[in-house]
Amino acid sequence: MKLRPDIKDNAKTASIRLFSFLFFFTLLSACAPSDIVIEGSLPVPMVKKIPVRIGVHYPDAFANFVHTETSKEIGAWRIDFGEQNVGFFRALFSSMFTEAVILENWDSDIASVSNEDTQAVLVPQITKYGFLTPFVSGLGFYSASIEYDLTLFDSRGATIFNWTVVGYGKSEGKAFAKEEAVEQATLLAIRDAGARIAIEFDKQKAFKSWFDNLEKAENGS
Amino acid sequence: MAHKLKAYRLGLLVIVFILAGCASSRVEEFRATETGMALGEGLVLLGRASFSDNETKESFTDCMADSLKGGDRPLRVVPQKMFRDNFYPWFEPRVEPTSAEELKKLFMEPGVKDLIASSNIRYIAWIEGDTVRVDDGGTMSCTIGPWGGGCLGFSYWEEDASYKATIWDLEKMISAGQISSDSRGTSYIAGVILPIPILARPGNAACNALADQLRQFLTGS
Repeated sequence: MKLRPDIKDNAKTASIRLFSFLFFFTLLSACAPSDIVIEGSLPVPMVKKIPVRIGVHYPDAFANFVHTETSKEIGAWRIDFGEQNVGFFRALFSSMFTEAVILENWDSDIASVSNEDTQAVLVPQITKYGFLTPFVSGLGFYSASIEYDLTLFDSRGATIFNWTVVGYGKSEGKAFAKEEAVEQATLLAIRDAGARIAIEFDKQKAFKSWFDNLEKAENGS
Repeated sequence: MAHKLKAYRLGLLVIVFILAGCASSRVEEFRATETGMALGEGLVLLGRASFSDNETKESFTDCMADSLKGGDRPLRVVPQKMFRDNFYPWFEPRVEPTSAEELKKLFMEPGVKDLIASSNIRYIAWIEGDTVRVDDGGTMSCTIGPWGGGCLGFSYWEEDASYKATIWDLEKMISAGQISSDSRGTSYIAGVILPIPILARPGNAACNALADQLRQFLTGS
C-alpha cells in the first residue's frame, strides 16, 4: 500500500519535530541549575545527658548556610541547608545536655552579660562543605562532607576548647535524580557528624578538665 | 489451532529461559553456637558500611529482608532504617560496634539494652559484600535519528556477587556464626536492530541463597 505524498510529508515533519523537541529538551534539562533545599528527618540521639546548663548560639552563617558551586564538570549548584541544620542541632544539644538554651544575640566579648545564666556557651559553625558526583569521583555514588567547628566558651567568654568534626554521607543515586542523591548524602553527612558529637563530646580532654573543675567548684571542694 | 497455541507457548518458554540467563551460587556456613527463635522474636539486617565503592547496597539488604519475611516460614525482620533511627547514634556507620565485645560495651550505655528488650530483637545479622563486574567484552553500537534507530553487535559481562552475614545473638551476647554466599553469572546483549538482553542476576541469586541459609541457620529448619 502506498501512502499519499501529503500524508508521507506530514509524518516526516512530525517525526523531525518530535526528535528536535526531545533533543533540545535533553540539552536544556542538562543545563538547568540544580537548586536544593535540604529537607528530611533526622533522629534524636539516645545518649546520657551531660549535667551542664548550656547556651547555644547559632551564628547567621550557620543558621542560613547556603553552598553555591559552578564548574564545567558538575554545572551550577545551589544547596540551601534550610531549617535542617539548626533543627537537627537543637534536638541534638537538647538530648545531650541537661538544659540547652538558645542565645539569639551572643558575643564572647559581652558573654558575661548575655549568657542567660548558663554554665557554658557552645557555638557551632560550618567551615567546609563539599560534594562529589559519580562523574567527578569516578565512583558509583554521590557523596557529601561537612566540616563543623564547635567552640565551647565558659561563662566569662573564654574559650574552653575548639573541636572540628567532619561528617560524611553517601547515596547511591538514581538516573535523573542527582539533586535527590546530593540531598540524601548531605543529610547523612549531618547525621554522621551528629553521631560523633553525641558520642565523643564529653570525651574531649579539654572538656573533661573544665567539667571536673566545674564540679569541684559547685561542690565547694 | 491447538498446535499453534502449543508452539506459541513453547516459543514463549524458550524466550523466557534465554532472557533469564543463569547464575550459579555457592553457600558456606560456620556455626559457633546453637540458635533458635521464639515466637515474636525478630532480627535486623544491617549493611556494614565501609565508605568505599564496594559497600553493601541497601537494595541487597532490602532484598534479603523481603525474602526472609516471605515464604512458608516468615521471620520478623525489623527494618534497617527504623532500627538505626531508634538506636541513633550507636549504629551509625563510623561508630557501630565491630565485634561482640564492643556490643557488650554498647549494652552498658543507658537505654540501649532496654530498647533491645522492648523491641524483642534477638539477632543482628551484619551483611558485608558487593556485586562486582569481573570481566566484559564484545562491542555493540546503537544509532538513533529522525527516521528511526537500531543496534548492531554483541557484548557480554560477567559479575561476581560475594556476600557474608555475621550473626550476633543479642541474648547470649556472642557471635553465633557466619554464612557466606558467592554467585557468578554472565549476561549478554545482542544487537539485531533491537537490543536483546540475556541477563544473569548473580546479586539476586546471592540474596536468595543467603536469605534461605540464614533462615535455616536461625530456625534450624
